[in-house]
Amino acid sequence: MRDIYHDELDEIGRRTLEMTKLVDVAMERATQSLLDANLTLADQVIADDKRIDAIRSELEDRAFQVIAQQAPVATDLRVLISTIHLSADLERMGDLALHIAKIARLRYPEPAVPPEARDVISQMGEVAGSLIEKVADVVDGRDVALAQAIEEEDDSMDALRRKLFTLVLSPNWQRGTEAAIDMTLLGRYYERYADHAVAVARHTIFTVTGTRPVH
Amino acid sequence: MTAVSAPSTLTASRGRGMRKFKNNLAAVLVTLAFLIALVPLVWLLYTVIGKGIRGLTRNGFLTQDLGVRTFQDAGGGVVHGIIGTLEQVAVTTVIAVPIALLVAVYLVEYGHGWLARATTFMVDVLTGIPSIVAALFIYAIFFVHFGAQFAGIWVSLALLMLMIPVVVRTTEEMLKLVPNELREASYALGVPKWKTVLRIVLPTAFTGIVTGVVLGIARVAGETAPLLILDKYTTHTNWNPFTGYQAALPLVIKDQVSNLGSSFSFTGGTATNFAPERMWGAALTLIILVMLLNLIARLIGRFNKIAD
Amino acid sequence: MAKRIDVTNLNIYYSKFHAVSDVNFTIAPRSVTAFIGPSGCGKSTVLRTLNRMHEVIAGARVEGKVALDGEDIYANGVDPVDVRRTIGMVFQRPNPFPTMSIYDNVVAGLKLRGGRMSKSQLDGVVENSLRAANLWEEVRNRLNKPGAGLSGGQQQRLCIARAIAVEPAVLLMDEPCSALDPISTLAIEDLIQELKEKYTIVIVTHNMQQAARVSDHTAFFNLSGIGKPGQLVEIDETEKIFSNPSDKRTEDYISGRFG
Repeated sequence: MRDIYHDELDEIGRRTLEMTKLVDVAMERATQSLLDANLTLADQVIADDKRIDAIRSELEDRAFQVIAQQAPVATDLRVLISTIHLSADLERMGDLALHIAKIARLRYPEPAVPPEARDVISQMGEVAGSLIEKVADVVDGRDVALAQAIEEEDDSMDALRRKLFTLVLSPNWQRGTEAAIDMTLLGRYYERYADHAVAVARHTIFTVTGTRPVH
Repeated sequence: MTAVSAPSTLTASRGRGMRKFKNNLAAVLVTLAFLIALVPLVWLLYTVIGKGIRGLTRNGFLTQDLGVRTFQDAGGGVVHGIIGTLEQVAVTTVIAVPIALLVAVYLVEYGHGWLARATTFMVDVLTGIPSIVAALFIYAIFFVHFGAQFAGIWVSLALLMLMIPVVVRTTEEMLKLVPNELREASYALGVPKWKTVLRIVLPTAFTGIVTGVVLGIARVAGETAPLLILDKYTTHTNWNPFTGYQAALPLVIKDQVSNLGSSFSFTGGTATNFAPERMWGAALTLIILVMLLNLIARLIGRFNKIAD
Repeated sequence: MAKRIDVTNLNIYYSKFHAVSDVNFTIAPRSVTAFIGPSGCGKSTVLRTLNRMHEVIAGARVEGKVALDGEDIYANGVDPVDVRRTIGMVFQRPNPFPTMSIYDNVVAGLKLRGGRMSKSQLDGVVENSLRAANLWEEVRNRLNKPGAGLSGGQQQRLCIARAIAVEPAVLLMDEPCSALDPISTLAIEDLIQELKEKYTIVIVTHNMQQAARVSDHTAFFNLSGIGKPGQLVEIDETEKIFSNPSDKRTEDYISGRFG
């Protein structure tokens, strides 16, 4: 029964998943363009951000329409409200990847990341990648336990950011103010990325259980 | 070169002509059947009114009886028949209607078991009784067993058996037509069942019940067999249905029939035979009587509605 | 005046057929409770056992207890007619008495129950009941016109006025808006919100959005299987039922996955 309604809900779910994949790719490329000073990759990330924004608009419109016309209740309603919230978070994550790519572009042809910071940045990129993968699983499978794991991984991202901060603030920092500012911003961007991932996980927990997780 | 327009699906349907023809044919046949069915009714009315109007409009036709007049004597009327018919039918109605109402109410509102099924069955049987059998029944009980004499009351009792089933059936149908929701609304207010039947169901079905009673009256007003077996004709008016012979309109008609075609004169030569005009006059009177009762019933129904 | 209803171990039978099994719930006074569920699940049947109206059908019987402020209405010696004087009912199709005027319809319950009230007392009852039913302004100048001459929504409000004129403790409503247009439906829903300040109201509805709009508590009934008796699956605050019901069957029903 209500095939059109359920098909639309399924389609919204699929498009959400697509959006997480786009964000994943964007962040991966942004990190790589940063570390390799790859202008083409950076430009691609910058251009592709439009697609992420477009999906967010689409998801919002679709969810709104279903709510207006189909009077969804219970789980269906929670899914739609959560979709509206987490699509905003995902778009923000895409924008953060965009900012990272812009820093890479700005410093070209010099690599934006000095050798002493490469390790940390690289690890942050890996954590980001791992996080978005888990987020995709959580959104797809609605696995509440996995959402727990995301919170913990966010803590490791915070730790990395503090490490980067310590590096920049140490008296051994030779690279100057511009580079220091770049590193600070990058650290912030990766950290915010992780925070938004956690937000997405929390919205999904609400969808599944009907209660907002305490944090 | 003119463009060829595509055929419109609304006007170019192939079977249209055939359908129209069938439609018209059906309409014609139905109208024809109706007219054919009307023929006997119209013919009857035309005949009775045509032949009876002369007797009916004679001076005193409705106010005098025939007294000592023979079929050759002018004057007189059929008031003895009118009084007799009215009284006999009235007695029947007064006894039949309460009984029939109670039976119908029982069958529709209360009866669910074997007694209801038996009662319905008996009512069905009574519906089919020929009037002469009903008359013989009364004869067997009261005349043979109790040694009663010919009088109007026995006719009433026989007519009772003919009227009750008719009124029961029509009342039943009218009661069933009352929507169950009305009864439910009443019960839901905390009104007991008997009061619901009395104050809600019966008033709602009132017009229909009255129509049913009138139908019953129409059924019995012209029955002749009980009159022949349980009563004897007299040309004098008898106001007492319990004692003595009492005339009725069908008996008047029958009496005139036996005098038709005779032109024997007491005074020699051929004489005018007043039997035909009296006969048709009496027939017309009977028809008008039943029609009047019908009108009264409709007026009662209308009055009932306005009173709301 | 509004009373509390406690239903314990209610089983309903039509002759040999077990229609509803093992129902337990409580309804607080001055609240609105909605019964929802697919066709044939027994919600109307349960509603009718609350004022012993199911007994109108031959062979219908009940096991278990239905208590009104603690008194079992199925106890020995309790007359169903008395029960129905305390628990009123409004039906799916408006059913004003056709032979009576609007005035007579409103006081029908009082008059037919043999009450002796003066004309001025009756006038007062008519005005109060029609005001409470939001119908007074529309009909005050034609009280002696037949009740059947009103529109569907007005007729239903007349039936509500008739039901509350006898001052019941509980008002049962069996799909009261099913036969009405959307505007009349909303008018009656608003009326229910006003009435709940004085009466305990139980409403059976096929329209889930109506149940969500109108009720404080919702009870979901369902058949356990084809040919099996109906049962109460879940009863809870309406807000919870429609945002996060406990039972998956409830969720499936309100999301339109069956029924």
